[in-house]
Amino acid sequence: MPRAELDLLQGTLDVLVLKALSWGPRHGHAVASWIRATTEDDLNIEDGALYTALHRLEKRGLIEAEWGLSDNNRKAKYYELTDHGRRELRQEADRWSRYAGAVFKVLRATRTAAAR
Amino acid sequence: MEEEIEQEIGFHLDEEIRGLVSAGFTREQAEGEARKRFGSITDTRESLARIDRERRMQERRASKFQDLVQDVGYAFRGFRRQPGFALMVILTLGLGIGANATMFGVVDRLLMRPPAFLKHPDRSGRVYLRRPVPDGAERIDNNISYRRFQELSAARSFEAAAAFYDDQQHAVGSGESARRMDVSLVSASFWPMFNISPALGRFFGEDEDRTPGGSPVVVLGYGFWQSEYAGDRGVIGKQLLVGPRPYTVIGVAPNGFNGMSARRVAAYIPITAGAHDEFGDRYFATHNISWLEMLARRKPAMSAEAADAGLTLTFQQSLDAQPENRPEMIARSRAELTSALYQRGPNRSNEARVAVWLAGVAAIVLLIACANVANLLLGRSLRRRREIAVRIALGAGRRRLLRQLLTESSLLALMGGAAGLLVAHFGGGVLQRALLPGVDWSTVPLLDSRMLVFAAAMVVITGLLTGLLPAWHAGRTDLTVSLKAGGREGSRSRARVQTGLLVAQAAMSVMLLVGAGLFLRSLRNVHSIDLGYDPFRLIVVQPIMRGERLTPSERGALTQRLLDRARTTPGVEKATLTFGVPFWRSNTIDLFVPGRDSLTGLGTFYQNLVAEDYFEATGTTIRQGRPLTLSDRSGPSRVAVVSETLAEKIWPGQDPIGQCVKINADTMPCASVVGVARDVRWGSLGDNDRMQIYGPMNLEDSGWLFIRTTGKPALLVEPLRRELQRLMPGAAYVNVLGVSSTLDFVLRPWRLGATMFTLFGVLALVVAAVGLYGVIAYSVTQRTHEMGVRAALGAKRGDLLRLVVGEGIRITVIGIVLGAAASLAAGKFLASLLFGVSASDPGTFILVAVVLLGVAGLASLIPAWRAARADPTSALRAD
Repeated sequence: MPRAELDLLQGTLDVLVLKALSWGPRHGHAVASWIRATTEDDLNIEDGALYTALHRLEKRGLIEAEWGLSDNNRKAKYYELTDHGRRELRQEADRWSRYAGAVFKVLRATRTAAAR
Repeated sequence: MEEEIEQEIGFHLDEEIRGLVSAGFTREQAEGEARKRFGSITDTRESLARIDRERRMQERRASKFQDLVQDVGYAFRGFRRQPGFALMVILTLGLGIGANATMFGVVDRLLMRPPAFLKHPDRSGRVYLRRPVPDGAERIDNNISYRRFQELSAARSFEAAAAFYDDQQHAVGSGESARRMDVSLVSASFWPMFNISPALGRFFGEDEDRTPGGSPVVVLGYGFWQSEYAGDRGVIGKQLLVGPRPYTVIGVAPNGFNGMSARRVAAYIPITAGAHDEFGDRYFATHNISWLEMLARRKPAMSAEAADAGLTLTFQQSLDAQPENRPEMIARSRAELTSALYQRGPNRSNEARVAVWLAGVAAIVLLIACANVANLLLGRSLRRRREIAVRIALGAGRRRLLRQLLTESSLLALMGGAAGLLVAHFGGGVLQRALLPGVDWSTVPLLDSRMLVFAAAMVVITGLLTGLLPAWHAGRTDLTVSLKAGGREGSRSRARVQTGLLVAQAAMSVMLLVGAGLFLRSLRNVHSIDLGYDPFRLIVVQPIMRGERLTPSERGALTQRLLDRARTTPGVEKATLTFGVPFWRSNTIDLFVPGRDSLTGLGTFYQNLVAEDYFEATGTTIRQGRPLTLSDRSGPSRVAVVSETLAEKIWPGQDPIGQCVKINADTMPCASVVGVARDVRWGSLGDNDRMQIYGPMNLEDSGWLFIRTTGKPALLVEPLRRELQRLMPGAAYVNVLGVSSTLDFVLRPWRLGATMFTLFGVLALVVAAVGLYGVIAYSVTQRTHEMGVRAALGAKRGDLLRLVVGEGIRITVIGIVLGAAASLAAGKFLASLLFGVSASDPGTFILVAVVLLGVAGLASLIPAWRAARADPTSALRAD
């Protein structure tokens, strides 16, 4: 994937992961599956990139990790949002909607609206 | 950590594969798809490992920082609970570190810091010339002639060279404000050797520094410009009388610059101009006048040895051009470039040695202070040993505890260092001016970066010294012993360590006190020398003609007028004339007595020419015969007065009155001895300079005035100067000062040694006494139970007192013995600085021992008294 698109993707990934964890702790595979399902695979995210995002978010202190048992009794690493992470998620979501909203306004504008 | 990553990745792949298989893929297809969806596994593995490593490091750093904050908070809480302890430690360390920081500043100034603004100090230096002298030794000179300077400047070793001469007694100004000031005569090439630009105007150049006479231009020193001209920017072009003629001000040197001088320089003039004023045309033609110094910088590519070799060659060629120099002398002559600091060259004076000694003394004081603090901390940590044991038992790592103890001592050291800098700042100024008066300390800020670095180093060393001992000791705590209630036997090793520290303190105190005692006795001996006159009632007046030409009779008339005016000035008891002043100006002669072989073996003969009233004015009483009178001046026969020792040595057992003595040559007519006077110490304080012969002085000779005052001379100096200055013609002026100030210079080394050693000695004693008190007090509280048992078993109060005080005395005695041994060993090095007392003077040692025992006894008695008063029953119940 070209580098520029990759960087943009990393920032986006972070907010997707944070959102994925907003309902409670999940392990990495669950996060991956959920994102793929919700975006209907439109974003073509590599799982490896996702795990990198998870570990980075852990390093930044936005999520914390704990080993636990999965449904089928296997050892899995569960991730959970911290308070800091929750705040970050809110801010990022806010910024994204404003950003997207602004872009959307421009794209929907008619010629007359621009002339005025 | 890699395992976890593997597990996580593995889990993901397994789950993914499982999902794909249940969606209908075959096993193989599922594996392939899962890997495809994952991306590069190895890359991911690496990234995750890197991220996790960074995270761990972050966490470790954060937790370490948290630990530190915790330790600091804990330490501060501890200090707040026992503020007296903390204060005492900080004070002790503050004094120790402050003393060291100040001494460092002094030593730095003398020995380490090159002249301000000097370019490339590592390659620059003064030129020293070595020449063999007839008796086989070597003469080392840093004073060279102008011609030699010119020849040596051409040496290929040098990148730059300049000549300079710092005259401390140059006449500046005119009329009532005429004074002797520090004036530097420098070559035009001097200025570019420093990184400076003028504060005003410009510096003089080659054109103004040409032989024979240069140009009469002057660059003012910054301080002089501020004090004399109030920083007036219109000073350029004004005339200033320097030496005998007016010089035009062309510029002002920048602030903080003093050339190569340590003192505050008032003005800089071209060396050719100043030389011409002083020596006329002769100075640059011959090699006979060696007066200036040479500052040079060697080329960067040359090593010091190569530069010296090249310089020596040039020097030898220069010597060779003089026909009077013999080849073998030339061959053994050398020239070298040595440090720019005078005190590091071969002709260094005593000042540097004294300063280094005192720095050593300050270091000892710091050691004592550290020992004290270590003891206190040790005691404190032992008081908390149960708490420490509990913490260890509950799982706190020993390392963590060690760190905590070290944090405590480091904090104390840090605060002590801050206190020390305060001490250095306020007390340091006083110390510096006492040690090296005349030096311009304004160029060196008291708290500059070097001293801060030094203080920081001291703080670190102190923190380690004081903290390691208790920390190491606490680390060896035996858990079970400490946890048991009433672990009151106390560890053997603790007692040994504490005792050891106390003994060391006592020993070091002994060394300092012995030094103080020896110096004090030297000082007393010096003060009690019979100088032969009354320096504390005498003023000397030195008329300086400064180029004004007077005929002998005019000079005589002036002298008479000065005498008359002085005699009528209130506060003056007597006024007389003298040629010489002890320790300042003297004339040595040869004496011949008819019928005797040469008298040269008897010692040095000083001649002084004096007017009437001389002996009464100076207090040099006449023992036999009569003094010189007015009629002797122009009388028909020649008369003389001799000193007691001279009479004794030349005519032992005979009556010296009426004897004949011939001055300077056997063919001279006899002078008849008419009186014998008290001995005067003229050239030095030793016993060899006590032979004087006095003759009558004529008014026309260039005599100085001796004034005897009724009260303190200091009060009369300025009024007298003003009165007499009015009588001086033209640019001439009078230099008036109290005779006692000529003695200051002679007495300074002993005064200094006595002051410093006493100061530090008393400091050390106080610190050691406080340390002893603290340790004994602690030991007593630990042994409260034991005391109670003893009291219950019948011991009386006296017995208990003896027990405790005995311990203190025992420690002190061991310390005294060790300290005395060390003092005797070090005494050899001190011997040359003493006067009239040997470095192993038993009286001093005994006195010091008695003082120390007394102090130790008192320091032990106070806690012992309190212990003995304790109620036995509560003592028994104590823990």
